[in-house]
Amino acid sequence: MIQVNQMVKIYGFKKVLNGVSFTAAKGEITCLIGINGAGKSTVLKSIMGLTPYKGEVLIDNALLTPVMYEEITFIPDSLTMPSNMRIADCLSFMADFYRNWNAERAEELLKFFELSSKDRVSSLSKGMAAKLNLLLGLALDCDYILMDEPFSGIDMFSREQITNVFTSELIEDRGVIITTHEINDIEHLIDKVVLLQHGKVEREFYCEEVREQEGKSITDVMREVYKK
Amino acid sequence: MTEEQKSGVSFNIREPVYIQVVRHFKEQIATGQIGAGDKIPSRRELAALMKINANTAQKAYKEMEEQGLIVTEGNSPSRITQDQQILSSIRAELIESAVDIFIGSIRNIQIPVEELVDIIKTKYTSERKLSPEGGDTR
Amino acid sequence: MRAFVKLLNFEMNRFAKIYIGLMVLTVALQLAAVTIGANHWLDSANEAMRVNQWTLEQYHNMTGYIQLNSMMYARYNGLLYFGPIFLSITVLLIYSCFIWYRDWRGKNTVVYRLLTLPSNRANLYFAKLVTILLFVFGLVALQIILVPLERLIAQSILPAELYRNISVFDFLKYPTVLKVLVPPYFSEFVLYYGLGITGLIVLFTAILMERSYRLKGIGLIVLYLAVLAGLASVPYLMGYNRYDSYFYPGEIIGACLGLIVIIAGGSLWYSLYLLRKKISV
Repeated sequence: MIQVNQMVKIYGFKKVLNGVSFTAAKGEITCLIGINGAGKSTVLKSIMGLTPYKGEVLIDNALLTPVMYEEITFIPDSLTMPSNMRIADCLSFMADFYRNWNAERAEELLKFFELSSKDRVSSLSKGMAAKLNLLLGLALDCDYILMDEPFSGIDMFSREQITNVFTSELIEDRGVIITTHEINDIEHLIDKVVLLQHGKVEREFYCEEVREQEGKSITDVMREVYKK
Repeated sequence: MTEEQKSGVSFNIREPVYIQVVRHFKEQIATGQIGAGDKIPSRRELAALMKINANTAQKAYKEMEEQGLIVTEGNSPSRITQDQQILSSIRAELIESAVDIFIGSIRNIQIPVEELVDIIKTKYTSERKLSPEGGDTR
Repeated sequence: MRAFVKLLNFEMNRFAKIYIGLMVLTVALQLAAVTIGANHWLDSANEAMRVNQWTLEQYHNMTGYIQLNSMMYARYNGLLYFGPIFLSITVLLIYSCFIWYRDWRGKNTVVYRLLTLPSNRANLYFAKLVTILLFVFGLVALQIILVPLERLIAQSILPAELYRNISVFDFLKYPTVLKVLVPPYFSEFVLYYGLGITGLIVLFTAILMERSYRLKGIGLIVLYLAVLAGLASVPYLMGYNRYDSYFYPGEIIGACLGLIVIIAGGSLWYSLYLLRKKISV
């Protein structure tokens, strides 16, 4: 379980996060929703120790240490490999540094995403880059995966492939946090929603519970929250 | 598994997905697309097939198990029940609930029942010719 | 340690093309400079002998031997010979900044990956530091290897009566940039490279301050440099340039060394702290 407690982040004079608290369990897909600039990415970066913050993040009840980057991985919306590298180089880089790198799965994903290991990172389209990014995260045998806007700016077919990932055994038993500002495509794929508004968690709920108890769609809830 | 099932189901976004999945299975049973004792997909397969969350698929199966729709013996895959009493009640239940919804919305118009039956007869038969599978539930 | 070696390899590969380019350029230009220089001296010797009706011996008595360092004084040969050295220094200085900023720059945010590797972030820092140092030492080593080769070229062009071979050691002792890069005495070597490494650590610290605190970091850098300036003024205050200083020269030198250790050590510690706790992507 990832527990975020009273996370506060200030950029310059702007309080981007003002006491954000939520949990994301293993075996569940938690979706961090907010309009652009709501601080979704900042939450993920803070959890990963990529930017300082006030507050506390516990991963399976422990504070983040470098060793734990084999337990929790981050898939940002930009490529994390130098552009002159080939995809094959990226894979061997990962194999070099991560003991939990699953080379077999990486090969499967390469085929599934129709990526060529000879391609250079610099030559990848936005969709292909997103898929490579996803591959680099999914081929790690880790408990938690954080994804920043995995669907933004991606063509329909890539989108479909990425959607399939969420219902596959690649995600099985892992704890996933994804951020998005657009819920329509994935509202049946996720377990839980954390709605961010004005630097705070406005609502945290399980999708099926809201549908069952309130007869509302996630979009309905978003509308209620953001109209306020 | 029929082609229609593979292509996925369109869901009502305001109704719990697991209930819709259960209903989908009931419809398949009622229309004879899956029969007594047929194997059903694993929860992971179902999730991939219907493009839904795996935990939701799990919940749907749990619900179906509680209603006696499916049975699981040991480690073998779950199957549709062989219990004829349960199977035949599904059809009745589906028809009844659909008719309930229909009556609920038509009652305000206060149409005489004979006229209503006539309209239903003509509409229903012509629509069946057009699309034998019927529309979605959205 | 394993992670450090891999990161070092990674960092070196990322600059390998330009670095090899610098090496090739250095070799080509220096060898050209020596060839042109030797031919120039040969021509001018022939000319002088023809005009003055000198024999080789007479010419030699009038002008002295031609040595390897003579080549640098012919035409633009100084530029040709020392140009690539200064170019290399400039490029490596610029790259010392770029080696950090390139990770943040552009579409590819390599810094995300580097900061989330399952190893101590200090490895990242030392990989970058050692990369720059190895590049420097590599070029210096190349220069040392080049000198005997250049001697051979000069020797093959100039007649033995005109040319005198000098040792690599003697050649490097001439007051050029090489005297700083390859100091002939060990104590000088330690001093120059100690100062150089300290300078690099200070530069890295300033970069990490900026990367941690962005705009506010600039203010912090100013403060940091003020502290450094304060520390650096201690030898002056001790009166190292006054003959009637209260302190013995040995004490002042000791204080200088102590200061270098304090500045380098303190900056290093602070850099690693920033990288661990304050760095921001």
